Amino acid sequence: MQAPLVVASRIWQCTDAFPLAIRSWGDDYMVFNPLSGHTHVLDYVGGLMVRTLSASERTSAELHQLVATELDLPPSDDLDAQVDQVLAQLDENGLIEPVPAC
Amino acid sequence: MLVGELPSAELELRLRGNGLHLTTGAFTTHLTIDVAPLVDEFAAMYADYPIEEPAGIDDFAVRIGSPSLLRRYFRPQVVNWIDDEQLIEPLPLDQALPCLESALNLGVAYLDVSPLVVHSAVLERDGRALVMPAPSGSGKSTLCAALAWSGWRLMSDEMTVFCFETGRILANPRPVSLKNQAVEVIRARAPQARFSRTYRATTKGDIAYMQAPPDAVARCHESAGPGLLIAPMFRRGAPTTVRELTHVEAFRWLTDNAVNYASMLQFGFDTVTDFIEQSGLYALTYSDLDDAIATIAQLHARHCLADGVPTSDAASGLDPRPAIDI
Repeated sequence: MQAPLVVASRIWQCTDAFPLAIRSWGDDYMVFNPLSGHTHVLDYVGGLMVRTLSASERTSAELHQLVATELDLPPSDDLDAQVDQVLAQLDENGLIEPVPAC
Repeated sequence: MLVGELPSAELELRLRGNGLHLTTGAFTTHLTIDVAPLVDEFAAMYADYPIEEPAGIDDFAVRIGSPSLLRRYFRPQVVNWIDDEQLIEPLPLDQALPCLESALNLGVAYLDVSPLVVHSAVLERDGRALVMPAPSGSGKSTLCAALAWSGWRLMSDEMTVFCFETGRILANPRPVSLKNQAVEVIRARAPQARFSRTYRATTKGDIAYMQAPPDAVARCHESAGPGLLIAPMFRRGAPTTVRELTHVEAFRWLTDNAVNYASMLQFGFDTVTDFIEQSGLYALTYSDLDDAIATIAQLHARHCLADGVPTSDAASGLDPRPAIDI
């Protein structure tokens, strides 16, 4: 089993200052980040994360559950690890960020 | 007033003096020409184009002249300046018209702030645009020229200009550059088409310019709504085949060929994605022009007729001369 990249209680958000522009095209998402000026093509899971977090912040655990429900898959550590990898990549690309701890 | 309405002596006087303000549709150019042989060639190719009088705000200035006094006489050369900046190396004097055409393209590409510009042919029918982005060698210009004499209005062979405010496409019809045997192909299909002489050994090979059809120039201020995006590919001997593009593929076709997508930020993103969501998206492989034109007509009928999208500036409530973003 892969070690989780992020803890389940970590809270994620899209930055409020510059809302992302998001277009959903079937299983693809096009996302424009006004902060960086970059356009991103995301697959279904990446797009689902960004679209969800652009509406409100969520914990990693909530996002694990969301993906399992959307893809109609049983929850598992493997699935959680894959979702965590997607979250880390979105974070690296500047589309989402962890909510700073108080 | 049209260029062709000026007596030739006055046209030369103006071009070699204070210049004239040439309107090609979406753009107005302050044009000065100080190369005698080019004046006649310009007069022939641009006779139907309006001159803006009184002068308004030019989008850019183009000056065509000799790079130095010496080069007027010794191995004469010609060069263009765009807003007083020389962007390309001098060319032989014999290539003065290609030098001018290059300047009119570069002027758009180097605008500080401009509409979104995609390197692509674009034509119009029933108020809807057919956008054909394609790399060099894909047969884009030949197909574009053939369509321009087959019921489609030429909006541009070189650039699709998107108005940010409306998402509509602005016309900028100019002469169509045709390479090698394409000239004879179009001449055979459209005897009424008028051509420049052939310019040998340019950076694009042997080329000649086909004048924009008079109707295209007369309607150069009419915009068009989204219609079709077709990525054409000429392949000798290939049957005509059509493949539907995904939205993401179409997005890449447009942005990979865009001159200024990155600098347009979210305006660019919104404009491109809106266009894609309202258009039929296809890749077309062909070798037979008639077959390709018939196929495009079918795709146009499927996507662009009777679907409720405004087909004219008047129907969309727009000024037929929408302001350029400056």
